[in-house]
Amino acid sequence: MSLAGWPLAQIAAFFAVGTAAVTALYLLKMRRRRVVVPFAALWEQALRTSEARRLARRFRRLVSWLVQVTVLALLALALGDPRPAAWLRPPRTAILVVDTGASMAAPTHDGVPRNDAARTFVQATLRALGPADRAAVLAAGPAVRVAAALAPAGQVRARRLDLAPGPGPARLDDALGMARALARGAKNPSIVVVTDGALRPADRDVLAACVAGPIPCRIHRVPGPAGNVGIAAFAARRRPFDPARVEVVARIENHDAVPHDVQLDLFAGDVPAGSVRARVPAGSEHRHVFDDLDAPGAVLRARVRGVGGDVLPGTALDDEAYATVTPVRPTRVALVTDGTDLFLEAALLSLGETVEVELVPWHSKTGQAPDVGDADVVVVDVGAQKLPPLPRDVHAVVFDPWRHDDADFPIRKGRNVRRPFLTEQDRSHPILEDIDFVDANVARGTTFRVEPGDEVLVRTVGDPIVVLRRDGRRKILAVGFDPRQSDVPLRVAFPLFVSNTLAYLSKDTPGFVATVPAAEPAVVRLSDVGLDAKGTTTATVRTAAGTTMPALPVRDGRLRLVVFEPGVFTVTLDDGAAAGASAEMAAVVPPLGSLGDALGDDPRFAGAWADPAPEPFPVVDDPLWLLLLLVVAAVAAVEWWTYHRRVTV
Amino acid sequence: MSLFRRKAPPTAPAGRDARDPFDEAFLSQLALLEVVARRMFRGRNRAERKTRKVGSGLEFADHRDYTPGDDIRNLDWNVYMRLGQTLVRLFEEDEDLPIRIVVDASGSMGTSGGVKFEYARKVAAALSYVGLANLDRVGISCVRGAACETLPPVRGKGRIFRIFDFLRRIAPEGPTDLRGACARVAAESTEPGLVVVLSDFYDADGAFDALNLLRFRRHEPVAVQILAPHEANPSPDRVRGDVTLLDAEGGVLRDVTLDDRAVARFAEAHERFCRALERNARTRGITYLRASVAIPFDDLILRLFRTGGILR
Repeated sequence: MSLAGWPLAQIAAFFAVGTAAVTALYLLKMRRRRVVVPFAALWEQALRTSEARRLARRFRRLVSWLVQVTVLALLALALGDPRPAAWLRPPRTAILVVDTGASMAAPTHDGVPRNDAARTFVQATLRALGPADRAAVLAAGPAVRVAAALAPAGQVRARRLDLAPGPGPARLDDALGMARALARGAKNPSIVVVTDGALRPADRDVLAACVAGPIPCRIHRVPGPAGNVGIAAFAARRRPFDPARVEVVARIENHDAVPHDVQLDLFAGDVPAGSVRARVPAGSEHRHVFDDLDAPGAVLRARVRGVGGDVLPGTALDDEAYATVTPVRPTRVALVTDGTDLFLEAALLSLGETVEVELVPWHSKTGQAPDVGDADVVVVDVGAQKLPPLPRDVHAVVFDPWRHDDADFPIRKGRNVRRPFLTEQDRSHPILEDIDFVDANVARGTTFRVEPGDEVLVRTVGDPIVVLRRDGRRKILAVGFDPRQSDVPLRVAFPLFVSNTLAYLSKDTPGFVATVPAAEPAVVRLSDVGLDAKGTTTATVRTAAGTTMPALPVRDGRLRLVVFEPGVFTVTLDDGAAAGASAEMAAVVPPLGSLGDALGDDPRFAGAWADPAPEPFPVVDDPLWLLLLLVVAAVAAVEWWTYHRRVTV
Repeated sequence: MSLFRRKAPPTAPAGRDARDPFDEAFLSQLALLEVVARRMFRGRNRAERKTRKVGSGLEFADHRDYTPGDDIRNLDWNVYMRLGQTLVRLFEEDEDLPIRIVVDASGSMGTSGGVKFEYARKVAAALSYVGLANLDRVGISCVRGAACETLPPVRGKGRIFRIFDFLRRIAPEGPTDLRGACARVAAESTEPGLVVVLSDFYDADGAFDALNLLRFRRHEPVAVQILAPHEANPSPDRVRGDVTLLDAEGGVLRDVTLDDRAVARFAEAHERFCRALERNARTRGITYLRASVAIPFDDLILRLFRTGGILR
């Protein structure tokens, strides 16, 4: 114990003078109030006291003197400001960065959840700080949160710290950047990182840079077993040939050193939709596809668990995954035809409920432009008839547009070709996915003269014969031959070609991705999830936990968002043509990989380990002199109350 | 104007002090007391008080044998005619009974702002007025120590202002010696009568002896103990802590520490003192009344009329 206030000599002098004064006052005769009574003899009779009572009164006076001297001693001690020696060191600032990544939900080697072990260490570190010290606690999860702002250590200690693990890896770079910013200008700053060591290489590098940096940086590890078995990927989509049905793929990864027997259960809503058992070898993965499910529009949930008494290691965060299959609006197709191409009509009809086909009869002799209404795609196949004028702002598929040389068609004619061979095709283009036209027989056709920006899908000996042109937001697919004059309609590729073409033209991108990774920035094209974003500027996201995120901006029909709760969330359009419309999407935990400590063997962190059990600070409350004054006040109050001196002194 | 017209109550001379205890309001109360007293003693002659003498009154008392020298007019001729015995009729003799009012003017009556002395003066004035209204002779003595300042007995309602003036002059001071003072009063009163002692009787030595002395001198003493409530039962808030008690009659200084228990003990001792005085008075046939200054003085007067036997 040391004195931070008056030195001992001054305290002794103060006490001596004060004691002398108090004693002198007690030796002096007390000034008493005079009370005139009419019959003093009667008072004497009533107040006749015994000898013992007189002695007790003298003793009480002595006790009163002792109390006064005690009060004086306490005051003198308070002036000295006594403090434990530890309080006399300069104040410190401790910035605690706690890893709250998904791996922290896994147990340590002792079986304790890693985040609980981290919390215990944080509390111990805070208890080791004195009243003059300051501290802050940052939770470095998928997003960096301030669990406790920079404040005196006592206040931080009293706070309830939210250190729950997030659904993704820790972002140490952001957290350490914030810690350095907090430490800037603070007194004797130091950074303590509490982590299980399951960090990405980039984060390990950032941490190493922090350790080597000017601000003292220590690491406390709460490591645990590296093994983890979980769902690393889960996705669902409509079947390309049968959009009414769904196919689902799930990938299970085993990062443990031993193989595990797992069972993968799939639920559509609450209804079991499938189940499969598998043995996943150590350090390997198992992929399974549920390829024909009748669950469009339902929330799909996959769950992996051990079978045969096998307990899956690692965190449970990635033992479940979600996906949604968004409902799609049927594509409205206007078929402008002379009524002779039954193959094309059959191919359209085979697409089932995904298209609505309206037949628009056309005969060039009428001279009237076809009325296609609000069709999404116009398919023009008029055979020998003269090509009608194409409606503006509507995607178009035109077969054999240059049957007549005086046709009005934006893609200019190349030349007429007899028995063209379809020699080259762009297989990477979505329209030609899984299609092969190379050996098709065509009686006649017309090539096109392409312009910059045009995509040539099929060529005949180098000349474009199937061309895709973008005209503003409109796309025009020109097929330079008549299906009737070829064997293409007889092939199984023809309905697929029609389906791919309609899907490509009616959607911005093909596919039905309605799943985003949790805790990572994602861009969602609202049209992909069945929402008409025309005129929409903001959208509201209600997470799986039931919380509503602030309104998110929508630009060009795209919504940029970060979802931190795995599960199904809802996107609702706030304004625009479809204001109020909503769609469900799923957020899945990104692959966690191994949960082992990657820091222990890294030489960059040698000597950077923090004291695992910091000594608690001796006295963590307010300064002692304040307590002494409170004791003085209490003693004085008791003395005043018991001795009734308030009237006479 | 009319023989039956009520006499107007006495009015105070002009120019009195505003704080005069015998002001107009007081006189109005006296007038009311006079009416009440008349109702209570209706049918009796004025100045007719039965003494123990047998003499020339009007009310028959007894017979005795005739002896020579007796007034022959007192022979009971009816008895003589029926029985042949000569008996003389004896009558109770009527004579006026002097009233002496003794007011304690010691220092103890002046404490607490003199409320007790003020009360005693008013009671004395009221009793005097009622006595004078009944054609009694009323004298007043104010005692302090063994000294005694006396107003000789007067008769007639018009003399009430002399009594007022006498009482106005008196101020409470000095010690209490009730025994010596009452001895002086007894010595000055040649004929026995009603003696009303108005005092707090704060006299440890002679409070009862003074009353007993009056009784020995064939007076009819009436003790009216006038008390101030906060003196008899002090509030602990007023006399708490380390204080010096100073006797109002001088001499005694005592340093004490008063707490709730000490104050309670004093209240008990005071009550014991008053009960002892009352008990001693009653065992000797002395009328005793305890009066608190908190009750109106006219209520006390009526209590004296009803229970005190002052006016019979």
